[in-house]
Amino acid sequence: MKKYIIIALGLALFSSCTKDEVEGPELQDIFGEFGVVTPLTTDRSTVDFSAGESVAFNAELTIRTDWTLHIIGLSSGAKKEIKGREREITQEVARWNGSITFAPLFGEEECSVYMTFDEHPDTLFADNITVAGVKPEDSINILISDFETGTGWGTFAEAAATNQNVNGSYFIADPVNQGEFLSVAAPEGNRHWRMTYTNINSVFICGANTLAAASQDAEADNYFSIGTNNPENVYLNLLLYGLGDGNTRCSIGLQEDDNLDGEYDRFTEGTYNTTIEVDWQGWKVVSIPLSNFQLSTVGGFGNNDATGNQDIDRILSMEVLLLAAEGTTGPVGFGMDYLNFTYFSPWTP
Amino acid sequence: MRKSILFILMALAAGQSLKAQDKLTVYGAGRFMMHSGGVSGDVYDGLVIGADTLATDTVSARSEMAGYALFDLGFRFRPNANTEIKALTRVYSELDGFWGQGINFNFRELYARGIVKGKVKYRVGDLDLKLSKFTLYNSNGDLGAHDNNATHLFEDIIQYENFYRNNSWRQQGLQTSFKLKLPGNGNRLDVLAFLAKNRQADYFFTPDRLLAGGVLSYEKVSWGTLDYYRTDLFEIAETAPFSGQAQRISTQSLAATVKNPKLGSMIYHFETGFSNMHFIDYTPEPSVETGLFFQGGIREMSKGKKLHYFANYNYVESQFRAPGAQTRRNNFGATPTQFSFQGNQELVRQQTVFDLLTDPSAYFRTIDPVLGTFNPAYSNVQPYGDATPNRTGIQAGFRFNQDSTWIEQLDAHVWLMSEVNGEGTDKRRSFFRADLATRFNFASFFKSDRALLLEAYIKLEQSNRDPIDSELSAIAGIGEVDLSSLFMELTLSKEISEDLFLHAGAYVLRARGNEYMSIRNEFNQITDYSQMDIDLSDRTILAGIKYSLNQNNHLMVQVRNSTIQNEQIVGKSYQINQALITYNLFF
Repeated sequence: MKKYIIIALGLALFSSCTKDEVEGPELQDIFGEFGVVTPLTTDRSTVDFSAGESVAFNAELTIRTDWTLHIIGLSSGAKKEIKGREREITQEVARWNGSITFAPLFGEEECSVYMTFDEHPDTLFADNITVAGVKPEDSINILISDFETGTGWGTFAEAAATNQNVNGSYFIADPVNQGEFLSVAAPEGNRHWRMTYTNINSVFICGANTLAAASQDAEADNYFSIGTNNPENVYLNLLLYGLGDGNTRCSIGLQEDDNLDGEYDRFTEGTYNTTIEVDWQGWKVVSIPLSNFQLSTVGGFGNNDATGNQDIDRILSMEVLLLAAEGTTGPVGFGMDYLNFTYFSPWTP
Repeated sequence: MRKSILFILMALAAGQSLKAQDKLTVYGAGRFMMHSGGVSGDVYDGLVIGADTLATDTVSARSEMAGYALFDLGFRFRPNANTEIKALTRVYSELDGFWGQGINFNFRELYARGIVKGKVKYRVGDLDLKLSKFTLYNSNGDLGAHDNNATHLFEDIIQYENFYRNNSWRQQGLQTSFKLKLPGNGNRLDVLAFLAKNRQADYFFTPDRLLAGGVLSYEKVSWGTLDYYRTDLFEIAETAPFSGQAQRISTQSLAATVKNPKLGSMIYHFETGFSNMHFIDYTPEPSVETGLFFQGGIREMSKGKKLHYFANYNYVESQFRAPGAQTRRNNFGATPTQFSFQGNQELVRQQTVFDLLTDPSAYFRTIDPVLGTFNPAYSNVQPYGDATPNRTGIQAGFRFNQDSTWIEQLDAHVWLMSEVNGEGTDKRRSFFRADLATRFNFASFFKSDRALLLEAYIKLEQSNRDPIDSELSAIAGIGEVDLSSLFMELTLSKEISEDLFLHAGAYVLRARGNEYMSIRNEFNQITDYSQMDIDLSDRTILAGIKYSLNQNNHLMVQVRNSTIQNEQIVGKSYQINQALITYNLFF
């Protein structure tokens, strides 16, 4: 009996071994009441991006919550959005290097700055910033298409949609402001690709595709010359124009030649897809790591992958589809331009 | 298909002819699995709740018939008395892989092993690694082992597919071991060491990751053993020239097992150790973290007795890291193989109990240094096994074996645990868990020679945490946790003839309450929390027949109905009705 008492005492002693330290951020800093401790400020009022300068933003909230910092070019209309979820907003998480989220590019102009919150109606304003010099052009690794040459893309459609390479600009009804029209022009060069439709009768409307061999940076073989097979390290970037309708879906498929025979067989070789919910108005920079592309779930359209893996060094062709959300009755559509791949980080024009 | 049949026949013929030479034997598995069924319910049909309308799902298929056939053929080649080579090939065909287009051939297993000079054992290629529960151990899944007549076959397949042999992890590398005789009759020192490649570099940003480790085990006759365990999971920065970053996690422990007849039939077990986590060239560089653990316990395991019991005390600090022991089996991020997507947005269907019971792809196969996400509705007390960080408390239990003519097994296990540190608050969670597993055979009641088995496994969990104390109304109440879950599997099986069983079963998971789930970064540090309100009811009723050609060769036909009600998914409820045919052979 004595040994059991000793064991029980030992267990009781050890069971009191706890620590007063708190692991992780305080719960009340996340789930407490929202308030502003320090208003939104910038560390400079004038910035020269061409000289490598940048702007840092500071603010402090009572809780950690999802925020968006908006920077609007007052002359160009260019927009930059920086998103975060910090209580203390510092230069580590809120620094602007002159890049855009929505085209066009920023010019030498005055910009307004404000911050909004996903879960709270408040808006914080900072003093305006003057751009004295614009950001140098950001480099890319593989240019798929800027649509300036007008070649290399085929089309297919379920409906009689507008599905073509556009030279110059066009007008289209603004689904957000009834009775008004949007003027859409290429954000880069003179041409871009347009897919639009108004009489919705199916989820799939139209599509366009191109072979890797027809891309503007094509090399000798049939495939995009991506220098790694790790999809986490490669980004597909493009400029995507949204009408603001909220119903448009842009699906991008990367079709693999799994058996390296120079042809894509949709029954036995994989297509890796991603779908973008185009819920904005204007030209937006969209960057997606290839690891976000998932094997097709549509039978007979790339849902069987002969190798069982995503092989980004075997991408033979690319397909872009205009889709509509189920039950859509109004117009849908998007424009796209300057499709490219970058390694290790997204493209930031 | 003709090609694969030809391949199999040729391979078998080759195996038979070489077998005659006694240098080559064949082993492997064959399997055919087909399921056919449909889905229905609010998730698919749409519904109106107040002003909100969930549109009818026009994308997902309502019924699905799929399956596969596979044949694993292994060769065990013994070129001499001291060397053995094993190679296992697989031919796999989806049911819709007509005319050979959907057939895959691959190597599934390859290793060589042998003994040098009759003293030093070695193995190269595939390794099955296991040390202690705090250093390298593949803990069971969240819902136990499903060791009953209705789903044991699926569990065997999951373990086979994922190489979960005897709670070991499958890695590739080399291993060696030898024994040294020490002074004293029977005293000895066992040495085992291994080096395995855990991850392949991408030659840019992701470096190679290796797993090294071993055990020094000193055994003193009539006293017990003293073991030193060590594992190192480390990255080779030079293999990723564009990065230079690397991580190293080292775990060491000292364990003693005392079984001295003078101390009675009790076995005393102690293990204590620590871990170090280093980071190279990270900006900002995370601090080096050291964590400790301790386990002490007793168990009574004398051979002649029907009752065995045990008790353990565990203490594991928050910073203790042992990737080999903390990597989870259940992968809740995996896409289910059957009815994979739901809704017009093609959302991945959340895994259900039946997925965990039957789908081998719902499990992790390799060791990961980052603590995996878990679902507290399934497991919240020790989601990372005994090595779960930030836990302290006691476990106790007993096992009856064949206590009477009708109780074949009765196991009970209770956990009383709490956190070592509070997460986000100075209030610590407390945990209670109770497991009960039984197998009754009522044949004697009915004076029959044929078994009538009632098998049950019940797991009950309760997690609680007090809210933050504050006079401010905006803060008061934050942090409170009250989550209860009950998992029960109950099967009844009747032996019709020596090789034929009818069975019926019910599998129920009911969880209700709330939790604050920690969100961790790549350094395993908690950076955020997500609030979870859980109201889950997952019920499966099944019935079937199992015909056993022998102990390793079964044909099972089953029908099941699963009803899921989950507040966390859009549409909240759906049903799956399905028929499954499974033929499995191990040879």
